[in-house]
This record gives sequence, C-alpha cells and structure tokens, in this order.
Amino acid sequence: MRNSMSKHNAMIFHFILALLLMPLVVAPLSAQGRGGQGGRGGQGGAEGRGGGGGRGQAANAPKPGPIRRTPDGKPDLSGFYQANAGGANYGLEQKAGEFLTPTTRGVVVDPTDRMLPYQDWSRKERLDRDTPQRGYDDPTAHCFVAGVPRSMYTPSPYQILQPPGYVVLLFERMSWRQIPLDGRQHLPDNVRLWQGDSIGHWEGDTLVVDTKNLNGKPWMNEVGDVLSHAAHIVERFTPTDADNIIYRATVTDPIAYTRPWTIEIPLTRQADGEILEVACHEDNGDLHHLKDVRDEYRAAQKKEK
Amino acid sequence: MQAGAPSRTLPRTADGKPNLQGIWQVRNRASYDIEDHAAKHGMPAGKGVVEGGQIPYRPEAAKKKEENFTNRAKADPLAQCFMPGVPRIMYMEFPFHIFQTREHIAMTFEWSSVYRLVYTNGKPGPVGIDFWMGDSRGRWEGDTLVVEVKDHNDKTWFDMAGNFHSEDMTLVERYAMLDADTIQYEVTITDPKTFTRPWKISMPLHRVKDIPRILEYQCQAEAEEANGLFERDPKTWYPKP
Repeated sequence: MRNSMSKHNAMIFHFILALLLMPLVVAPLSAQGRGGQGGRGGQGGAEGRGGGGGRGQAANAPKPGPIRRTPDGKPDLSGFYQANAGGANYGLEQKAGEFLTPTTRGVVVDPTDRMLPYQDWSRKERLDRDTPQRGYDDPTAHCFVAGVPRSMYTPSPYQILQPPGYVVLLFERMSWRQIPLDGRQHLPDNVRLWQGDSIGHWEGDTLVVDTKNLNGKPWMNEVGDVLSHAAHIVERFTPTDADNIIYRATVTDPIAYTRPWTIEIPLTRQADGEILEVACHEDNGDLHHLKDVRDEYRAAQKKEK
Repeated sequence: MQAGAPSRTLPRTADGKPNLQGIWQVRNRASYDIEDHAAKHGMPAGKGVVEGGQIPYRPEAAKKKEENFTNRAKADPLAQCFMPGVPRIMYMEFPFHIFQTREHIAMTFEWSSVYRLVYTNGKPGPVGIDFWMGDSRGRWEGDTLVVEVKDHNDKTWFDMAGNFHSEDMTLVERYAMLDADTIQYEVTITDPKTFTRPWKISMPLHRVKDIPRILEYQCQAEAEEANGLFERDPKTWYPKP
C-alpha cells in the first residue's frame, strides 16, 4: 500500500493546516493569547502540549507605565514578549489571503511601496518556494532554527533577559540569541551560524543589534522570502513604555536585493507570561508528508523529461 | 573550602550573590558513562562521577540499562538528535554559557541550541506538563545555588551508556562556586521507580576563558545535511562547506 499522499491529499492537508492557523495569525491582534509556530511546515503538533492559555492582554488592561530602567539607567527590556507580526511568518509584504495562505498585514516600511526590493532571480525564487513541492525546503518544517530576523516574528513568544553586559533572547522552539554589549568585534567571517553573530550597543533608549556571520540557510517565512549568507542585519529595539517595544530590522543583502530594506513590528510584553519548551523536532510527525509531495513532484518532472 | 561557606574571593553580582555568569565546561568523561568504565568502540575509558561508584538500580531497571547499553548506537535519544535533558546537558563535551539576573539563571548550550531557564524569583512552575529539559526552580542557600528540577519525561538518558530514569525523577542540583573559575556541580537523583535510593553525581565545572562566545551545533540539521535530506541551496548558503 502506498503510504505517501497524493497531490490532491497534500492540498487538502495544507488547506486544513491553513484553516487551523487562521486564528493563530489574528491571535496577537485580538489578544487571544499565544499562537503556534506551525503552518505549511506542519508543526501544529508541536504546540499540542497545552499550557500557556490566557497570555494575551485584556482589552481593558490598565495603561502601561513608563519605560522600565536597569540600575545603570538603560531601558530594561526584560520580559516575556509576543510580536504583533501581522502574519509576517507567512509573508513580509502585504497580501490578501489566498486558498492556502493567510492574509498578511505587510511589515515592510522601507521602501515606501512596502514591497521587498528583490532582484529578478530572488523574486523568482521566492515565488517558486511558495509552491506545494517546496514546502519541504522550509528549514522550520524540519524544526531547524528560524534565524534572524525570522525568530523575532514567528507566532511564538520569547523571553528577553538582560544580565550584565548582555541581552539574551530565548525562543520557545529551543533556540537562543546572545547579544554582547561590550564593544567586541564580530566573529571571523568564515564562522557561520544559523542565528548569526550579534553584537549590540545603546543609542539613547534604543538597543541597536548588528548581526553578521549568517549561514544563509533559514527562510524568512513560510512563503520563502529570501535571505542570503551575505545579509547584514541591523535591528533596533525601541521601548515606548513599560510593556511595548517597536522592533525594526534593516537588512542589507546584496546577493538577494537591489537595496537595503526595513521591517517594523511591535512587540508586547505579557507580565505573567512564562516561556514553555516546545519540542518541535522531537514531536515532528508531519515532515514526511511534505517530503512525499516534493518527491512525487520530482518524479513527475523526471517522467516529463 | 566548605560549599556554602561565605567567601570574599568569589566574584559577586550587584545583589551580593556569587556571580556564575560566564562560559563553563566539564573536563571529564561523564558524557560517555557516568559510572567508571573501560574503553569501548567510540567510547574512551573514564572515571565516573557517581558518589560511591555505582548507580543503585532496581533489578529490573538494571536489566533495562544493559539492554540500553547493547542497543545504544540507535537507542540513545541523542542518536535522533533529541534534547539531552538534565543533568546530561550539563556534562556534554561542549562549552555552555550561564547568564545571571536577579530573577533568573539562564544557561545556553551549543548542542541543538537548547537552553535552560531557572527561575530564582520564587515563581511556581506549571502543573501537569512534562518537558525534555524539565522544569527548573532555584534558590540561594548562602552562596550555593540550589535548583530543583521536576517534570521530566522518561525519554532522556544520563549518558551514552544507556543509564536512564523514569518520568518520576526529581533532581536537586547544587552549584557551589569554589573560586572564580570553578563551580562544584552536584546533583541528587531521586526516582523510586528506577532506583532503590537517592544517589549523587558530583563534578567541577571549569570556566572557559579562551573563546569569545559559544557557537552552535545543530544536531538534526547537520544529520539531515549529511544524509541528503536537507539539500544545500547554492544561491543563499555560505559557499564554503
């Protein structure tokens, strides 16, 4: 008996996943609590261990206080955060919902047309990635690390810690970023990491984080917005009050883009939130479906030739 | 020096606690086998870290341990790149980074970029959920950080030799700084389903001074790249393998 899915079944599989994910995309907007990080990659199961309910802010919550400060007078960004990413994990550009993809608000603020300044090859690559046979190629479908900036807007919360000399980010799906603030240089160019090498400094009340040494393996979301190993990313975390941060990331990637571009996403702290381990790889039962879709597509291509 | 005795020589945080922040690593062979062991294929000989030398298994558990050892190449959860759990993550042969705030101790590891977040602010843990890395709640007893680790699953091992536990395991870890560059790390393991009595492991953690930061070893990604299940993208990946 064949145990692989037909294309038709794969489409239904994706459609069901998309339906399941709809509430997760709008969850941060309607303050309904945490979202999953699943999607086309099929990691709904990773969120299946419950817990974490009621993480959202009530609509009638009191107004947040002023920016919190550490003893040295810098903003205290520590806490449990969720991005109000408007579906950035399903596309950085604004796009109406389609059969398999939820509506995305669009988080690009530069260029002013809010479109990513793709080169011809990378736009083509982005469109190709957003096909059923490429779903398997999204590294997060394999539960690999989301990378930078994607880790910051997956629909999954994260913890910011501010120990002396560092800002540390802990992501639910078992990955971390460490940002030293001691003025050091980046790692040698030939050391490449999924999360890159980040160094940070304060400019007034804004934490500025400079990231290089990326390995070019992560996609920027499920539809496959492209980022190469050449990317140089400058993130700016600007607190606006005790609970809110404006997050901006400016990406300079001469391999994939014609000019630098910037995304902007608000982050909201949830005072009572607690980060819970997500065992994505350990619970990943869906990856083989995506591989079957790809393998059947490849077999069909071979036949045509 | 007696663990827990006050010392003026230790580095301290602003709130007067011993400052554990920094990069640490064991220098032992516990990741292969926490008991004394002779060399085997892929396993160098090593002195164990179990107090008294032997783990007090119940008879049926001792049998299971032997099965695990025989089947270890495939049965070891790390062979599938699963999370190592606690305490195993603490003595794998990778450096790890401890970060310290008033409310938390965070530990970040190279291995599959797992981390531990230890609450030292008295916040109670979640109820009824188990975790690969357990749930860690800590407190200071004098100069010793004491961490209770609960809510383990039954899928993690102590080492490559198949030493194992049940989901009923609870741990009490003690981190006692001996000097600026040494932490004595001790764990009391209680699991009546598997062991006849509580038992202890103990070992020093050494500060690592010659690397600027810890890096990454993404176990599953490396495995899939090696066996062709995750294919190189020549357009975006860093060109040098």
